[in-house]
Amino acid sequence: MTAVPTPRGARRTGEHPGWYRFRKNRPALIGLGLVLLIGLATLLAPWIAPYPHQIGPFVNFSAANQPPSWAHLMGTDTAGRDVLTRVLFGYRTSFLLMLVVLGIGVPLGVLLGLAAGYFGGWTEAILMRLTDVFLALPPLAVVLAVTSALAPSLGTAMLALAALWWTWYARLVHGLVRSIKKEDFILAARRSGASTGHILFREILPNIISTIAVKITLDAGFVILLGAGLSFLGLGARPPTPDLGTMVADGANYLPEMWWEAIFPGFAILVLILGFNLLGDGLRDYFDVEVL
Amino acid sequence: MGRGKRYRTGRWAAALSIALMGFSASGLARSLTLNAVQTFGTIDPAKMTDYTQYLAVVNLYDDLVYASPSGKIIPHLASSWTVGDGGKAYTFKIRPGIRFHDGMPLTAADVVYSMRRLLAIDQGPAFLWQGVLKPSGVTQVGSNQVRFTLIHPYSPFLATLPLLFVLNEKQLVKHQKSGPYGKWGDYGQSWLLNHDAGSGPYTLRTFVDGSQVTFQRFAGYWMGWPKGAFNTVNVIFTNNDSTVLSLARTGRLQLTSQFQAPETYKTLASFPNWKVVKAPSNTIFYLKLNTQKPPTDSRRVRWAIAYAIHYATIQHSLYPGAAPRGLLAPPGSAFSNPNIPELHQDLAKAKAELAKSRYAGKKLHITLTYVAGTAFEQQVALLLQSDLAKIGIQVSIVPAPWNRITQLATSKSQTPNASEVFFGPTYPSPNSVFYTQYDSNAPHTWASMAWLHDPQVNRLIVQAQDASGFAQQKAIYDKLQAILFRLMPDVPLVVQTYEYGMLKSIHGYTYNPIQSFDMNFHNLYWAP
Repeated sequence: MTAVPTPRGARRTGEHPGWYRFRKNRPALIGLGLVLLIGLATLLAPWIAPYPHQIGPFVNFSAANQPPSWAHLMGTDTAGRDVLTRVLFGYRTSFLLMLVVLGIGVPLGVLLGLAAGYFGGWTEAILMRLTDVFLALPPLAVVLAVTSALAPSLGTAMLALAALWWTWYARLVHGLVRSIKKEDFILAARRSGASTGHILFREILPNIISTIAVKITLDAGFVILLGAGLSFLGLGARPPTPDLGTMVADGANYLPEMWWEAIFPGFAILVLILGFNLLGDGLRDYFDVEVL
Repeated sequence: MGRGKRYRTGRWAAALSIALMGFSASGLARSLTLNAVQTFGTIDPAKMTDYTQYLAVVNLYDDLVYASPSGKIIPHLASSWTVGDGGKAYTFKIRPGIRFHDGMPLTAADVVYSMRRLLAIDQGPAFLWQGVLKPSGVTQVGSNQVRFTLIHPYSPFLATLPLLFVLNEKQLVKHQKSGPYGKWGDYGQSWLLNHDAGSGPYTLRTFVDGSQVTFQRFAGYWMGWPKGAFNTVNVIFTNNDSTVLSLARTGRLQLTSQFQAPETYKTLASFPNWKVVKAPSNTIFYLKLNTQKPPTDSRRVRWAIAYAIHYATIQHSLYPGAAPRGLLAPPGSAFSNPNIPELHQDLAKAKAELAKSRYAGKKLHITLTYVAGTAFEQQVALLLQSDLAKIGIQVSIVPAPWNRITQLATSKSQTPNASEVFFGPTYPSPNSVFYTQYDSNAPHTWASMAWLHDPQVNRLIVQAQDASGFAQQKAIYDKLQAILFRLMPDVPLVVQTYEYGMLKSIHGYTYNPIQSFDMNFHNLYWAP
């Protein structure tokens, strides 16, 4: 990272220099704002959604297909349910998908990458060739195959995605570890009798964690998008669970007359992914990560 | 919102279509484009089962006899017939002067060949005649007659014969490959995958299933042609309502399928040059309940479900049509039992049935499937989920493509507890409704997803087949309907009203009680 140019108006004393640097990156700040806002709205959905009872087995066909109004800011869908409410709860499904996929994929990939990069030899050869094989599989096609072979549900889709996602982290971490394992501080730790576990998790991991963090942020949007794509194809959450991709798919049946049923959920996906991408770009600049 | 804009769009579309109309009315290439909601799969008359397959076959081939709109059997390839030997021998006189698409004359020998081929391949409608007719019972008599000698009297026999379509024997023999049928090889099955060997009003011009299917008018058709008949008919494949609307709006579609959403018909009717044609049908939209899988294996649970459904919402807004009375449609027809009531929602009765069932007090959970992508079926699924939640039954909705549903239907354990399925008789006899769906001795298909196994039902179905005379059959069918209503293997949700969106200048649509026979393009013509 190059030196920070002299700011207009001096930096307030006491402010963390990192936050200051981040704060100057306007798009990253917007991204962070979007992600925080949506995350908060998702957490508080049961209290802030106008019709929280409409996410379960609820229908009201006499109020179906109403355009946006003060009572229903995003209109109602074909079953008479409030679209805004379902968008807010739909975000929960998206976040859940993201947390599960990355929650399984990242630790697994990081562990395998650490092992392959640090031990080298046969361990490296076997793990990395396995990674190559998995990387060669197109994720959408694999998930489609797995979910149609098993029952099409959110759970299956999440597991199938997680089973593919670790590969990116394994490869990334493998490369990072290889490049720093010859550094003096690692050799010093080894000479002084530190255990392998200590070297891997106390010496190496803290030095690559920022790169992993940036990768996770950039990935979050991608996982959510892929999840929405799967639901659009009918392989996502089962009705009546609100799911943004499913809402777009159902609403698309009624375009352009009842545009609000597809446009708002679609826009909701766009805003969240934009948020994650802006944030990820900002973090990349901030940590000066070049490998991504 | 959008009203003014919509009107403008409508006017532009109208102007465009009028321009196109002028062109096609003066030009020779008058063509019709319609959408199908599923692919054809097969166009072989020995293998047809579903609506697109019947649609192809009724246009490419001629059947021995035809059915009138009221279900009466009328002459077609056969100009007349006699029944003898105590209802066991049917002799048909074949109309002279009919030619196949390749110019060869259609003879009694072709009829014999076609029926023997059907029985040998043993798919599609063949089950109707298994146990009733042997290949050796099909014989040519004299030069232009065909005789069917039945093993025993079978009262629905004549009513099943509109499903006997006649193929060109010489043409198929020329194209047959080696196969399991001795000197008949593969009976020309592989050639028929993408060719036709018929004498029907249309020939097959291109057949790339799922993308491009085009029928071409057969100028030499024996019944002649109305003025304004369509020279080519194109089928495009989509069940997406917004695609249908945008194709209609831009003049690339002139006739819709009968399976569009009510909103779509409403929008089409508002286009200045479009109309929506409706016809009452004998097809019922059922909720088929798997009687062999817990908890729908309990009759009480099935009745609880039947009492929990808000039928009025389905019949008036989700899929407008008549209220069924029992499992035979339309209500009030000759064979329908007048004592069977319409079903209405009654949550108190539903809960009472549950309390009396062997699952009383247990948390009940059922699976429900419907054809993925069909908007109104999804709405019905959401309604059922919400209605059944009111009596404590939890519903998992599992939409699936139609070919996946037919695959699930082949196994008792994989068939979901409940499935939304349309069934219409494939020949004009109550036997088609009862034997196909509820006789456990009939070949198992998607139509029998209830997996009913009831000896008394089986016995009555056979008795009705053997019965002679209307009064005797009517008495048996009345009893059968009462028993089936009590067993409730399928909940009849609504009697389908056929609805087609089409350009106002398309005329001649005629309802027919046999599946897809109303889409015989020979009836349709253009008149501005």
